[in-house]
Amino acid sequence: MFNKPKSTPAQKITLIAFLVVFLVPAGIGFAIKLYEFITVARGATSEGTFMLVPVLNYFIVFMGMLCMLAWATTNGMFRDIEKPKFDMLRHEQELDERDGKPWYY
Amino acid sequence: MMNTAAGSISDPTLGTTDGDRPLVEVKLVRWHFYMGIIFLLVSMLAGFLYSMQFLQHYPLKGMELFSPGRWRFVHTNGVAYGFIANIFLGMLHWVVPRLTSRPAASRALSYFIFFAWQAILVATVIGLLTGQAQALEWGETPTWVDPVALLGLILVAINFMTPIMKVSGPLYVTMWYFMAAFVWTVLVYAMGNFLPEYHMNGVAAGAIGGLFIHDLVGLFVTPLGWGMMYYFVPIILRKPIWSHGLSLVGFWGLAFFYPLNGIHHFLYTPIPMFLQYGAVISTIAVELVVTTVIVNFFMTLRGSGDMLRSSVPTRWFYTGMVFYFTTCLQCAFQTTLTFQKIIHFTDWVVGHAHLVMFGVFGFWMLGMLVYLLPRVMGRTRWYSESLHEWHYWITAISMLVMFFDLTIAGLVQGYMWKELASWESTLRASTPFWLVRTISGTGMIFAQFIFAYNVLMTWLGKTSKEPVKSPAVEPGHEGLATA
Repeated sequence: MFNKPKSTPAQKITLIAFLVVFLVPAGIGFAIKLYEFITVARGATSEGTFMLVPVLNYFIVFMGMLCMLAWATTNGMFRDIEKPKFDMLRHEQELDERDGKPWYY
Repeated sequence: MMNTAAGSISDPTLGTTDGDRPLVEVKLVRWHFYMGIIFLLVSMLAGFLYSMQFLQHYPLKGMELFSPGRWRFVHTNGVAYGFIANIFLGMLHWVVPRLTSRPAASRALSYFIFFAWQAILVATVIGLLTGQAQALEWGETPTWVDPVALLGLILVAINFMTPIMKVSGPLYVTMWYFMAAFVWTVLVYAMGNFLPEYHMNGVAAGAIGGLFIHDLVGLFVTPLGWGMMYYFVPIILRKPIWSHGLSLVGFWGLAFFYPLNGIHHFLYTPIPMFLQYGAVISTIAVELVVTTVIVNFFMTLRGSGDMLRSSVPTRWFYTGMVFYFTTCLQCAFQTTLTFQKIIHFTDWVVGHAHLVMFGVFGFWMLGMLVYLLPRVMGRTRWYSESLHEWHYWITAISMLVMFFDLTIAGLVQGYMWKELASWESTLRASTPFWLVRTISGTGMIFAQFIFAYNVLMTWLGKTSKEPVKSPAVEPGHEGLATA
């Protein structure tokens, strides 16, 4: 019932559009701010050195997520990217049928 | 071997490998939901009490224990840690085992967490009412509660991360969100409650406070809320999410862009401008990420629009999504320096906060409760379907009235302050808006009591005399919907 693992062209275009049009410019904006942060940290300007600890908090989380992204990529988490959504529904249906429970609403 | 949403599992019967232990600890799901509803009612009543102070009709005058400022803390903390956290914990006890085909790490730990969390909540309320609040927004919990609460969050992470980590193969997006939320919530809570209290002061502590209050929304409530929606919406609509790839774009976008948002709470402060601009940029980036989520859910709804009429949970979910898009769009503008000149410190922000926390996440949780509560109570139907309609419509209309009322109030206040109007005149101008806020809040509270009554009667096994509606199902799925 839920075995339709191929992405449609519309899905692919939307996915790529969001990646290129939105995430890339946002990433460039971040890179510029990162450069400014490094400039502050290296002492080229005295403005804001006391803010290093709060910003480092962010980078700790950022680095954690970056490691997780690398792990996910190398472990095939993004191969056949649409498959989990069909598996999830089929699995739910099996659980409900096994329990003899209805799907309310 | 069979493949599940979570990847490969070894037991084709979908049971567990842990003896006779049930996959889902249904009793715990139920208990967490009940406590969540109780805290929702208590915290909303606290909000009502606080709003009466603005109308100069506060009913508990002269009693320090019940001073309005303290009720305000009970209102916000009760919603965050009593209502939202309890409902999420109940939801996790249902969703994680079903997605992973494995129960939570420990049954004893699950029950311990339930009782410990309620004890933490009661201790928090007592601490707040006895004047032990900390001077940190959303982090008012007394200092002696903080380590215990952090320990509780770590235990929650261990309890639910264990089954998720055992899953092999590509993960469904819900599990990505949940995993991240477990880690983020612990980090965010520790950062917000310990760094400003013990290690930092001045502007840097203010910046940490900004990160904390916003990350609590974005890295605790948002990932659990989105994860919940990615699980329940496809199940209720009986079709997969439109694009799983797009949902992962949303997840990774949230992961990388959200954590720096918080400083936008402190624009025009001594915090360096490059950080303030960074917060504005990352906020706008997050709104673009949010758009991916909204597009995905509405494309999933395409062809099933009738469910909005026939399925109350679907209506709660999608109303929450419309509010979500509204509030995020609002956020993209209001975090700019131009908007902040007018709206900072005004009731605009209060309206925004209510729309996010209740209009979005509260609505999603109510939809989930409408769907799941009968199942976990062992009932085949609700006591009354019409009470659900009353509950939905009164809540939604009251929410909209409160949002528009406070938004307009914020603009009036902001422009009056900008024109250097006297403080007294701004108070006089604000009073009618505060009255409407109290009235609309009363409507919201009344609607939640209707819901609580419906829950109680369903739990008691009562049946109303109204005709039973057929559940809405898609063609080809009729067999699954019969009781």
